[in-house]
Amino acid sequence: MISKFVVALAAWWALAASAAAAPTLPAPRMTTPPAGGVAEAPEGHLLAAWEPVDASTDGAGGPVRYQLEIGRDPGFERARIVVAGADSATLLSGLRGGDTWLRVRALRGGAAGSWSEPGTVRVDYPDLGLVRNLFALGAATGVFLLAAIVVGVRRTAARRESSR
Amino acid sequence: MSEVSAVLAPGTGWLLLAIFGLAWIALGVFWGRKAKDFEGFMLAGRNVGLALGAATAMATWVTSNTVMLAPKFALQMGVWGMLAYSTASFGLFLFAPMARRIRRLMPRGFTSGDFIRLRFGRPAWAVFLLISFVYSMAWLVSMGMAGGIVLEALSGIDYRFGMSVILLVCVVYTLFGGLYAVIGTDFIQSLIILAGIVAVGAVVLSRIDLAAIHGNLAAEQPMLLSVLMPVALLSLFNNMFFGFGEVFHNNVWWSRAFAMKEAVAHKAFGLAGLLWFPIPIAAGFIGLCAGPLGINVPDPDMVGPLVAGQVLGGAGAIVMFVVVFCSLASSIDSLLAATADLLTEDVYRKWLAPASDPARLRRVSSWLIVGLGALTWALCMPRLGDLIQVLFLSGPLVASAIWPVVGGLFWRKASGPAALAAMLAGSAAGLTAYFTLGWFTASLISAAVSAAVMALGTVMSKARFDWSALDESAAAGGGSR
Repeated sequence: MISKFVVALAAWWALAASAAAAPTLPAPRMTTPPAGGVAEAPEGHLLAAWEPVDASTDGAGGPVRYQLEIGRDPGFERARIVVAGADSATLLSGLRGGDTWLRVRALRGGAAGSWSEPGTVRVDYPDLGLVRNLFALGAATGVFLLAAIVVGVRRTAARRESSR
Repeated sequence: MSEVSAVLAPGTGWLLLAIFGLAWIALGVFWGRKAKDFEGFMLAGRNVGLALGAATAMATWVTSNTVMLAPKFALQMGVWGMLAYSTASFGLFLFAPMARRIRRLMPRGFTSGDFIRLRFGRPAWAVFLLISFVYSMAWLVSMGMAGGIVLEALSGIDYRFGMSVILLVCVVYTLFGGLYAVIGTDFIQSLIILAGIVAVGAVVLSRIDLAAIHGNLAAEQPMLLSVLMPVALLSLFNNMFFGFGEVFHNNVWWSRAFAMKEAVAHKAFGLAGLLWFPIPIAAGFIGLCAGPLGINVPDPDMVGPLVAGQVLGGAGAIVMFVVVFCSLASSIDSLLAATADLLTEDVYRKWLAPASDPARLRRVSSWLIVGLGALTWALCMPRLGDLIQVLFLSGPLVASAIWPVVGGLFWRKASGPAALAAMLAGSAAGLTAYFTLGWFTASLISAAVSAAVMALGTVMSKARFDWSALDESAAAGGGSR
């Protein structure tokens, strides 16, 4: 009985000591998109950015790295992780239409800090009808330009021939 | 935002800058000895052959933007973005037959401004010069800034010093050698750029698994592979018309057309387009690999050098450093020379001092090269915002000049008022689209509106232009200037 008590006390002590020694990294703060806010990305890409954590507060050394989590839902149940290294920004591109949620946390050694408050990226691509019309306009103008040059070159060549 | 860590030591960067900078200056001075008169200085004696002609056109078109922006396009807009950038080569393809026409119509021509003035009169000429000057300065400043930024990112050289040295080197050798120096150095620079991009692309390709890259993109960034990505689809035409506008209107390309032998001008531009076409695709592919390779991109402008540096290490960074330096030099020298020529010929000689002799014109041109270099330096120094956006803002302006140039070359009925209205309406519509719909529609809408106005104005016109009026040497009794 006494030995069990001693083991339990030792385990509690070890746990408490390790908890006290383990540095707790603060949560970074998202700036783009803003924490709790929305950033529009009509072109499907965004330079996500956050404020670096003040790593001096936990008294531990070593480089701080960041992980960005990209969620398809606000609860981050369908999510993937992007490792940003020591940078405090990362370009996200090829985003699907609709809302995407982002949050970031700091890492040092094996320890991870808390997740930041999430921000939302809203991708609202231009209307496909407008895209189709402008695409057709571009194609028509391009064909007109090509025709103008080809016909122009042929006519001037024919004129030179006839003037010889 | 985080800084991208420098891959090279600053000492290595300075050594490379010194070696290549001194080499360009020495070659510029050497080739510049051929420029015995003003025409030699301005147009390299109008005797440039196929190899030099193709190389100078290709090297001029490979700018720092090609090396830095093509990977950014691919990273942000995927496969369409990569192809969109490469459509800029179509400008060289279509300019090829026009170059032959230009040489025939204006055997003693000097600048694109000469053409617009003689073909459409002074009001259209004034607007055209303004568009050209705004665009040229935006291009020069974007390259000066890009040079400083990329050298700092790759080697840790302070932005202000790197940018200043690049501009100084280009001003000095352009000043001594004129177009002879520009074309000669362009030839060597084009070989270095081609070899560098092919080498980096090949090594990156050998170190990655294409199937894995595709799988990763499909899973993580599916829109980059989508054929219906809206912005990328529109940027395809937008970039193409921006490229047409840049090449068709700018004196950089006209001065080359005037400098080449008549029989080779069209072949040289066609060959340059063929050589240039794969470069943005190779550079873009490097950018597309960033995500699948797990390389973080904290600054999208830097994705090309970043991937090359991280995948290939110090050797890759040295190659990218040299390629970027050559890309910058080959474009900055051309722009300095061609813009100084435009101002000397169109503003000074044709407007301010028509009686100037060739020696005086040469001195004016030299001072203008120095002045343009100094103005570019002053605008680059504060490192203002995203200069690529400024360059894109000039897109609708230059796209509005496509039709006045094409109509002016091939349509006898094209008139001055139609050309003027086409440039003004195209620019206004394009700038409106830039701020309301987005940058990816601006040049497209400008070109379309300009086409409609120019075509309508030409159909309604009763003018019948006499093509011989473009040959000023004939009007002056065949004497050269």
